[in-house]
Amino acid sequence: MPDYIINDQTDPNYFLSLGRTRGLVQRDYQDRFSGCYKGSVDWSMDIPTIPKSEWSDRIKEMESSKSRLSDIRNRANNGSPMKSLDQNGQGFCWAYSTAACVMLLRAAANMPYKRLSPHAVACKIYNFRDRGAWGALSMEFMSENGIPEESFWPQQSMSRSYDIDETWENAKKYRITEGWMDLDLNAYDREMSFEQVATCLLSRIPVVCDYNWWGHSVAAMDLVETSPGKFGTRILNSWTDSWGEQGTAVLEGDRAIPDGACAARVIIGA
Amino acid sequence: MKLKTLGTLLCLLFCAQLNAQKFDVTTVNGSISVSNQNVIKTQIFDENKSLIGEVKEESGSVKTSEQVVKILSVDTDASKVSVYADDVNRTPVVLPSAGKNRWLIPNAQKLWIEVKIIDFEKSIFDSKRIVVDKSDLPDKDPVGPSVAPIDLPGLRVLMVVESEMIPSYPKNQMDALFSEKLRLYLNEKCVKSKGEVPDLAPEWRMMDVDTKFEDTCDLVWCKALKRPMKSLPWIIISNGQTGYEGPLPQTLDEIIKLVEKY
Repeated sequence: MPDYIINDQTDPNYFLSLGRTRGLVQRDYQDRFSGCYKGSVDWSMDIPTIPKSEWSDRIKEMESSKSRLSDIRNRANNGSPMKSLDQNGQGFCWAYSTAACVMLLRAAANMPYKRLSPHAVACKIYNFRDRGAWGALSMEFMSENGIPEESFWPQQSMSRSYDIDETWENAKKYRITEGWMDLDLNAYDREMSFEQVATCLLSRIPVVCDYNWWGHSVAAMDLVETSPGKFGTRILNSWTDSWGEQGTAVLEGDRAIPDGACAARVIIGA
Repeated sequence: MKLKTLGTLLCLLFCAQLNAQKFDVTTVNGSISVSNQNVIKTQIFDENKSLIGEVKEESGSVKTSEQVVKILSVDTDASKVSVYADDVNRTPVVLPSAGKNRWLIPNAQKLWIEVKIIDFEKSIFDSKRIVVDKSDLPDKDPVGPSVAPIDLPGLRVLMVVESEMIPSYPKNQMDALFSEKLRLYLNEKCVKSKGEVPDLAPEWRMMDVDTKFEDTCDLVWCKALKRPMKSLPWIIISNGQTGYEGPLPQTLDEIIKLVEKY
């Protein structure tokens, strides 16, 4: 099936006109500077980046072996596709992008399929107010508290009645436990940041990507060669499967370079 | 000769000299013997061989003990070699010296180690970073075919990686590990979990070696992850009666061929 393409000509306001909400608020660097999160690991201490010269071949091989995260997503729900989440008109994209990454990590590890409830995370962080934030904030919360299944906190619910001990006991099963990397870099280093994102995606590690141009946070699944020598990302959005190509799109050119990015590597086992 | 050409030549000569310098960082398993006539130091390790306590007592006799360690060795022509180690909490850890350009790495925790070499006369300036995890006694062999690594009936497969090292693993091996063909094969061959529908996940996993589990370690995968692994990526195959534990084969065909035996 053809990809749904978002490129430099795409007007972000077009999505607003369709009633699609976003919710990215740029990170408060004075309060939460890069690498300050509990459990975060400095990239340079961990991972050599995969050189750009290898990207094209690796992408082709991953397509051929159907070993991309998008391929894994397509069979994640007991052989059926993992449906994309739905932030339902509220500005909680920054929690949905991280939740999607946790679900993708579980799928890659072949853990039982569970739909998680990002509204629980956002409600808890902002005391049930509909407010924007950035992906790393929800990543930090999920590394400390986890995220509950939808059977404990129904999707899109803002009800305080679900904010009970049992819910958060369940959430602990879905904690991010180790080594999530803070890929945020200064604007002048953004090319480097994209190399790190690409390395993660080629390693089948989903990445939470915040885009200021879009005012939106999404989960990146695959590195894509959009034209010879040019690369973008295939993202999983939180606007249901009716948007894009089954909830996904390919970001091209500058649109693909995130302003903030972080990645969970290890989650609680099941 | 034009100044620009001369500059280029000098630059090439300088780069060639830099490239010619040998700089290798290696680690090997080992152990050290500690003896003391007056003070006996006893270190206590838990079942994972993590150091959990230390007792010192006065004594008049000579006592000896043996410890498992790793030895960091730096092969370089540089005159100055510096080693900096941090633990998982980024707390600096001092590595005891073990002779020229050799250091002992305590085998109790995961460490991030940076090696810097400097020699102004030879124009050597370089650094390397490595991650060293704790390991089990080096004399433990993989489980033989007469032992089931997982004491439950049915085929179960666990593949273990260090996720932060995936970019440096052979790409064919990683393509195989995440490939649809292997996943479909394991879905078909492995037993299904006893959870409620639709949670009938086939009993195979691909996990990071540092994966944690909630509360108790009664899950089959938690127990399996605690088994000794000599290297990563690793594979554990069990049919309840017999099994295999060893390095993950390099190709998809080799992995499937290995699982087929059980």
